[in-house]
Amino acid sequence: MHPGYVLLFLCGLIGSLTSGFAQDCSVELRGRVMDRHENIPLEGAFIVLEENQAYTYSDARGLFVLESLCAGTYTLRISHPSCDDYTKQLSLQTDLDETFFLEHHITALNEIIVEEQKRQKNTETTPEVVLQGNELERFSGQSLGDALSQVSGVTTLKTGNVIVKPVIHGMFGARVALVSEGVRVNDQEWGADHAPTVDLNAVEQISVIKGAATLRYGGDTPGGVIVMQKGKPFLKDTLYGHLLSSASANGRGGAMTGSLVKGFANGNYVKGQATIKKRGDAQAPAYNLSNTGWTEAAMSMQWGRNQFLKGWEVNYSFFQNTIGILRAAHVGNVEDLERALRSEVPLRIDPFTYTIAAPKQQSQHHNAKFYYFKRWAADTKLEVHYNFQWNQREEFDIRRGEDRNKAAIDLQLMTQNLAAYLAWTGAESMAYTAGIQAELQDNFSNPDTGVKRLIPDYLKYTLASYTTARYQPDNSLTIDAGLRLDWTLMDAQKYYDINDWEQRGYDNRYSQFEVRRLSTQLLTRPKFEFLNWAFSTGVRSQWNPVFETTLNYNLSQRAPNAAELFSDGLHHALATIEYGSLDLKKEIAHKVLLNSTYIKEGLNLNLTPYLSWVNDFILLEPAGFEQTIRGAFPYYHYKGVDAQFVGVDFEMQWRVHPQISLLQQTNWVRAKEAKTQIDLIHIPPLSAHQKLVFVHPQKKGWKWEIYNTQVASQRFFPDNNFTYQFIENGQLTTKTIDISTPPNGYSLWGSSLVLQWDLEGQRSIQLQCIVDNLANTTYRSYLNRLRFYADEMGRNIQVLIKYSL
Amino acid sequence: MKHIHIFSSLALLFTIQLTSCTKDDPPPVNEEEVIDRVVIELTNNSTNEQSTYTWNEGDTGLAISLSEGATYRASVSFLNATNPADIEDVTEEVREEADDHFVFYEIGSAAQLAISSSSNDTRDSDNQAIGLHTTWEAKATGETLVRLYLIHEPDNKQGTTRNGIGGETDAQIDLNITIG
Repeated sequence: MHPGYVLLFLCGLIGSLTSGFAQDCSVELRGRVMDRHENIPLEGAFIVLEENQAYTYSDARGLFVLESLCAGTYTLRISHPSCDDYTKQLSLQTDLDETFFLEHHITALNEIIVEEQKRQKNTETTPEVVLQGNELERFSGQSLGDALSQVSGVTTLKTGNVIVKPVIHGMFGARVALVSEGVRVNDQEWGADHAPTVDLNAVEQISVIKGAATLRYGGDTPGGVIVMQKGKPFLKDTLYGHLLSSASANGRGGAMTGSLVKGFANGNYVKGQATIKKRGDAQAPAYNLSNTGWTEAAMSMQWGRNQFLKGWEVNYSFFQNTIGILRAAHVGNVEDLERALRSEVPLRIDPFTYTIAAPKQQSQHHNAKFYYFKRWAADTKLEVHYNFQWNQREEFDIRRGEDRNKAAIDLQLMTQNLAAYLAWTGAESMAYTAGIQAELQDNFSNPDTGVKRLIPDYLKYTLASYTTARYQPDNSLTIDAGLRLDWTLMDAQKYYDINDWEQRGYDNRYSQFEVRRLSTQLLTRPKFEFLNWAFSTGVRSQWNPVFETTLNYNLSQRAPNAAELFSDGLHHALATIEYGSLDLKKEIAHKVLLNSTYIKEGLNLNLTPYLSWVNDFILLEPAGFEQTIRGAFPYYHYKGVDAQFVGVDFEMQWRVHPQISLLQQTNWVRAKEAKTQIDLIHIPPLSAHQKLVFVHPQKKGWKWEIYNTQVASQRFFPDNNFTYQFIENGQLTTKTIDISTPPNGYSLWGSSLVLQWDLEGQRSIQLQCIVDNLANTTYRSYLNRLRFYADEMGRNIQVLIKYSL
Repeated sequence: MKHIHIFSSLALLFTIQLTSCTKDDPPPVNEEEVIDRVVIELTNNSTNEQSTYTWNEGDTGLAISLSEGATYRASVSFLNATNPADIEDVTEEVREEADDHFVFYEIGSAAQLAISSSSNDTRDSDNQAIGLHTTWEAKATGETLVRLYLIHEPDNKQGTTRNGIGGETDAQIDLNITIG
């Protein structure tokens, strides 16, 4: 026996003898295992005290606890694949809380066993929620917005039930960034009725960051950032993949997605993935929702080399979808709208079909990237990327004659992005990052549609740079701060109606943009330059082993986008005309967020109150009526107002019993115009979500959940109603068109069952049965812009089968 | 090393595009499906006197004078006059897609005026008249408002009110009828 052990044993013996008659065996060793170089928590590290063989594994946040230890001195050993074993002598007299940093040892490269997927955190001081695995896969046949809606603080703004956009803390659209594989997705999601063109099945992890803290991707998203990441194999000769097929009863839809990854011991890897989805008309409890089918096809390929000191990757992805817009939502003018509002059921109900006719949207998105990284001296990392995206969005309207099958809107957006990032963790307790970016965006609005361009042709140039610093002296304190500067030049070419141009006074204020006059139209070339700052700072404090807080302040500035500046057209679904405004100034948003977390013995409580005030918040405001040949239309224009947001997110996870967990989430947000104190439109009402989860005691992966969502009726909303004169019984009568009053609150139930069978090797089969809207409740949602025309979807039963290789 | 080459060429490509990026002037769009002119031709059945009334986009109502007791044959045309050099007759397309179209005359005061489909009216594949050619009967002196609708994809052409017909409004103009 090693003399050291004998000595330790004696010490332990003496220690225990001298500690008194009643030996103190309630000492707790608590800690966090971190990767020194990436500065991220290490999950699945094996922690053992050699003396008494007390052991445990670190969880997803790198945390571990060893309880009921007798006071004494121990040899702590922590091991983890890809790192060297870590040993330390510990003297445990009272509870101890420490962070342990493990090193990748360069000479041990050849012996490294691969780690499959590391959960990577993007921020330290802003609340970040990660969706992975099961929680993500259950939405395989649905959309990104549906998957995100399970995150506390995230709701969805829908146009129908396929076009779903995430809303974080009451903000959506251009105020929420979507990042895929390190690059912002540029797909014209400026409109509320344009869903992101990304394949949910192509990623393994989605992180929702509530706030603008990650300056790496931009400084203009006060709502938040959604980061989608794929896993990468690491220095292992491996082959794995999966095939997931799903079927859903409502809409008689099906989806299939599969992936295959081949990794090599030298770090090379190849990955391929593809998805197809198809669904017919959705069903509300009482009727068919005509023309709400959709189809989607996507594929992605990656090829690269991922080593410890350097690596590169080339990836390409393609996405295409066709989405039907509820037929009954297409109205001619205000009178048609009034008729639709009065009717209990949609004005057009046809039998179920898979055919998607006009009105519909069709989008295509290509995304290619070349990426390279290099590490020096284990504390410096350089990343460089070049990214190319091409997005085409076509909207088909109900047209007459030979134009029947021609798109009414055909926009082609090409974006190129070149960036370099540097990270340095050499100094004790300090970590720095910096980056520079250049972007070129080109929008082409096809005139062959025969319809006046809704969004004009434009070129947008952007140059940006940022830097962040983080101070983390120990596990209990992290302070970080970051600064970002963006220079943007928007150079557009737009035709205005000469009447419009003069009526709005643009001929006085913007005569420098005039290029050429035609008979009724004027060609202009508006040019705008913006210099936007963003600043972010936060403090994370671990007050004691069970309580942690983060306090975060963000300043973000957002330039108005092409839709807000130049919009010019009719939105059939709302029978409204929207006009952009050249007078818009940039939005300046301040956000303060306090996140407190309490974790103890299976109870996890989280409370996040936040406050946001925005100067020149850009929104659509009703501005009157316009009489056209088609009748009357209320028109809206984009305007900047000062706005205030206040809200709170609450989340509780409680392991009541080893096999039973209870989850509760409650979210509330209120937003008003500062001057008039009028509530903003489309602010999510108070909602509560609760879930009971039963885990099988023996069978791994078997789980049964039952859940309920309560949504209150939104009592705080702006009055955008208007009056109109109708002919009724030979008389001219004035009626009020109510497009403001939110629908009643509702309660939805659901349940899901997950079963899993492990086969030889690492293969497995997983079966999921999910029932949403179990009670087939009839309801309408305030955040669905088509709520005027039809109820939401009724019960949906989905079955998913996944085979993992 | 090879990575440097790839990146240099990409960066160069990017910079070249940046500097040479100028777009040609985009061509203007003349909307093809717009209806911005409605022409109503009324012929007095007894005197054969013909009057033409034209409504252009931007006008408020269209004032029409009728003689008490007289009967008229009327025809309505829909035009796209956005390009004055090339005026398009949209009525032709309405005729070709008769199944999907219907012209509805919403009469304010039925005591004053009656409008019905005439024998030479265009009919759709279900043999329903679509209201392009009509007979107007001026019954009593006075004034009445008539709202003329061109409806796309009506639900029920037999309907007697705008609600009963359904569909979407493609054109809607107010006719201020004076019968004297």
